[in-house]
Amino acid sequence: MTMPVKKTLKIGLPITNRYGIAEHLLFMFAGQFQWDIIAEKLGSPLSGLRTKTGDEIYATFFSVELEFTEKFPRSGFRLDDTLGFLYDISAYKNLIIDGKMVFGPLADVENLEASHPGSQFYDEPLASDLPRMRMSNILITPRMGNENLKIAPPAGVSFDAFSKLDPKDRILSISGYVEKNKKIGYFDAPPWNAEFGAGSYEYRIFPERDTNGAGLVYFANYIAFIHYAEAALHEKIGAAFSRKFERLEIQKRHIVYMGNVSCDDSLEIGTECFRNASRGDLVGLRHLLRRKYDGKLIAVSESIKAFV
Amino acid sequence: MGKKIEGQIIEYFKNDLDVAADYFSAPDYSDRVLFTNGLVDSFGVLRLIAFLEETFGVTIDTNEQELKDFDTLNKIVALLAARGAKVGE
Repeated sequence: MTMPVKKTLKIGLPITNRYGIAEHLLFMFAGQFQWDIIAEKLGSPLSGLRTKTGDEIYATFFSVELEFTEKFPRSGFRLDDTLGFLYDISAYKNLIIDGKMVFGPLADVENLEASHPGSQFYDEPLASDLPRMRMSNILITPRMGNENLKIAPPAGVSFDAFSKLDPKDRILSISGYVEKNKKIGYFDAPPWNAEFGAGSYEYRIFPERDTNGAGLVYFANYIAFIHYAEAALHEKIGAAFSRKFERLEIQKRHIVYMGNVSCDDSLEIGTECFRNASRGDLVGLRHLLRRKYDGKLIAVSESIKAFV
Repeated sequence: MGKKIEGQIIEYFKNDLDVAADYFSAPDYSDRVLFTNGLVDSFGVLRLIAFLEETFGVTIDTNEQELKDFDTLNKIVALLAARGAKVGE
């Protein structure tokens, strides 16, 4: 059993919006922490990872789940709060790295850490009412640009410092499931229905802002693209409704990435908006993101938001 | 037994990796490409490796083994034999 790793962050303006912690910025900080921990465990900066033949390797996210709780909603995190992030990171061979993370006020996270040894802090049923994220990486090497990413093990590094990811874990089949079914499953059953309608939005990749140091369109920026699509749907539904939508707060999201997009391409984002028949304060959103040049589905996101 | 193992792998491709059954009905099915043509994605390779390890009691070292080594049924069966699975009995 490997020990969890804790990171701390004092909330400053770069991670907030006017209502508290901002979702896509939380993705960035949480992702950076995870990359730091992976590098520490591998004993190598991630920029130094290479295949046996010398090709560059990147740990790219293929699945990210976020869930806030009733006790700790997104808007409960404010400027100058000090947060703790507690990670348990496991690996499947030298190809998949899976981070389970709980975050919240530092004192609460430290209490959880003390009372739940090893990775039990993340166990189901919930070991705490703290928010959680699960962020899963696959090691890839780009071939012929961002459209063609190939899985690739790094040479010369050991994965012994990671706990072992169960090969039957659902995360290893999530990509295939989502690609086949074009959904994640939040809205499969009543009381969800698609009453609010659907829309589409085209986003042109802007490399100066959207890419990362690996030249890939950065995973957290997809959340921002989704927000543009969501805003477009609000306008389509109607201005009054749009003002109401402005105060929608993220409760839960799962996004699965199945590819990347070229820097000179656009994304076509289809959005479906679901109503919850028994909870009028909840809204469900499903986004399907396709590359414009070949129509390939490269990401699916589902989220549940609440009017506040 | 070699054919039996091949059959188990084909069943896995059909049932768990969603490869159409008729893909394996061609005369050259044992040498037909499974991965590098995109028929099965990268995650499918990982799930196949987990299946092979559990079903045939072998350990597959992804430091040594390249993913193209799993690209056809014949290559997979040969790899299992090289790893000590009893594929010829």
